[in-house]
Amino acid sequence: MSNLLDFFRNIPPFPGMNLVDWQAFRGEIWAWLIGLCLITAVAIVGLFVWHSRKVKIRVPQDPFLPFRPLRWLWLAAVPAVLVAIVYLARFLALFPLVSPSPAAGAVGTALVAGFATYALAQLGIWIPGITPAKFRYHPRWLWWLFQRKGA
Amino acid sequence: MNTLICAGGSGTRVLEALLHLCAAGLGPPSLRLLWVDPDAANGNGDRVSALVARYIDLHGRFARQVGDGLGLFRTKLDLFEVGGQSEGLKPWSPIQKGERLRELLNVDLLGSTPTSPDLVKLFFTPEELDMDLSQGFRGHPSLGSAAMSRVTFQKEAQPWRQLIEKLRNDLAQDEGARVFLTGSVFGGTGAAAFYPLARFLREEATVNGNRLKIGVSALAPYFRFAASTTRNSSSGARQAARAENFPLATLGTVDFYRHLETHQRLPFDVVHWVGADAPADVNFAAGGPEQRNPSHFVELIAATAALEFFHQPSALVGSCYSASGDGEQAVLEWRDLPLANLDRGRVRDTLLRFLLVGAAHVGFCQPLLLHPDLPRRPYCVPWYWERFASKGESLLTEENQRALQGLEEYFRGFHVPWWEQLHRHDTVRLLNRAALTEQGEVRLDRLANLLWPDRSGEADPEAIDAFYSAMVEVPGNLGGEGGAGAYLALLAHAADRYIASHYRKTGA
Repeated sequence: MSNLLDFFRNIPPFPGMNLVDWQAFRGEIWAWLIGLCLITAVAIVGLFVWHSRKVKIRVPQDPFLPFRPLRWLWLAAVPAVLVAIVYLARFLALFPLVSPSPAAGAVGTALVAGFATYALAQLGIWIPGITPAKFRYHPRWLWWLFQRKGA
Repeated sequence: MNTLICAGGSGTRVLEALLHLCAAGLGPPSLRLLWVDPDAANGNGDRVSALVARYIDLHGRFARQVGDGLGLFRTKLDLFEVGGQSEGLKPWSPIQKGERLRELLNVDLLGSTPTSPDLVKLFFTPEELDMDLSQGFRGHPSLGSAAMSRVTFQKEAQPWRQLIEKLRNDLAQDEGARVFLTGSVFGGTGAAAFYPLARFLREEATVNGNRLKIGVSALAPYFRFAASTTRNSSSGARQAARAENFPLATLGTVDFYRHLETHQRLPFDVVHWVGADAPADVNFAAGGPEQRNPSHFVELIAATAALEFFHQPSALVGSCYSASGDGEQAVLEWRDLPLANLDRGRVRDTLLRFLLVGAAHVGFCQPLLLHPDLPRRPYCVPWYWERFASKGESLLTEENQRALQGLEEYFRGFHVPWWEQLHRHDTVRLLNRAALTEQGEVRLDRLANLLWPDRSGEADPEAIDAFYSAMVEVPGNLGGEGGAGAYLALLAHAADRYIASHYRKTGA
């Protein structure tokens, strides 16, 4: 389990790895991670804006229906998968002779990418004006839970 | 203080129109009501009595709570005690049940006086003398006048004693007293009531009599009986009002008032003459519960005349009449409403706002409030969460639901049907008739097209979405004092926003 954090170590996690190569690898993966997170978060917010404005209230049941634009948040998994793939590909290319599997590090990186993308997108959705006022409490389920516990 | 005296079936329908205007927020702060009608059981009266009861209930529940100067249901009604009953609107009648003119005038006793009984025969036929008057005067104003003149003998009885006391109190104030009489001048009761009642009130206003303003809306023939419904050879039918006599009866009234005016004995400050160039066909009913005529725009105009009088009683004097604008066909559009003091745009927007409130409440919000998911997930409806649920309030309490159901019944049972009937005449071009249903609902897909003309291509099944959004966007500082009143205020403010965004931009 501790291998999940391999990527976030400044020094190479395995013996036989060159420090300069490791730092170059980390820099490259960080760039991919940040870039993919930002692009995907912006895309999620954009899709959310478009979709949430297409959702209309027609009958009294409608306000209680699941708020489908929130499902775009699942796209946060895309940078996670992509970062994991890039991680594995670049790790194997740069460190072919290292025996331990890089999978744990890739998973850790993917989790960070996924969570960061989700968090960024969720924050974007909370920016005033992004969510139509009539659905303003739908994306705030975390806030709602917090309110409930605090009450 | 304002007093409305409505006489006969047409008078009660003017009252009906006036109550709808008051409910929308156009009425004066308070209004005394007196209903004069020997036919207590007529269908129009039943409807208006039920409307008055509903209005009073809603006034009590909403008038103060809505706040913000919206004025919804703000007019406080003051009813008089009639026949020992102080609850509800009860008609005053100059005759007793089953009484005939013969008894009313004590014809059989005339023989013991210097007056010859034959004198009566100069004015009344034997059939008229023996006519049962408990269903009204049936288009015989001569009978009505004879009966109404007896009001002077009843000034110590209710409701007249109460009315005179209140008028005298009003006359002691600088503002004075305003009395508006309304009814038809082509039937029996209305035509007979104006002059005797106005003269009586003038006589009783002994101190500061100049502060007593009396206005009248005299309805000229605006309906007639469909030919197929009047072919009845029974005695009752023979005695009943005949549509072909309406113009003649009107002419008689006009001549009489002209005579009074010429001799400076006209007891009215202003007379609004209101009529229609093409009378509507209605089913014949001699009286009683079957006399239930649909609403008509003439009654709306008479009601606006009453509002104008109460608003500024000295603005118009003498005889006033109004005709529709130029064109081949006489039509009634907003610009044709004969308003001298009230702002036309405000009148239109106030009525439109109220109709939007009703449409949204009946068609969407009340079912939403009763939705089983609302108590579990109130945050799904932001306006409900922010204004009620988060403050520990609920619109589902028995008290609030009684108010909201009363509101629904008012719109469904009275207000929307009234507008719908009014627009059965093709010449009425105020609201979009296609948006109103006979079931007392407003089609939500026409929410953005409630004003005439109908733009059928613009029916929008998502129209309620914009109204719902407007409800959410109403600033938190606008709204009533909580409960059902705050909800009604929210609907009204949302309607204002909706009008600004959906009616102004189209230039409607």
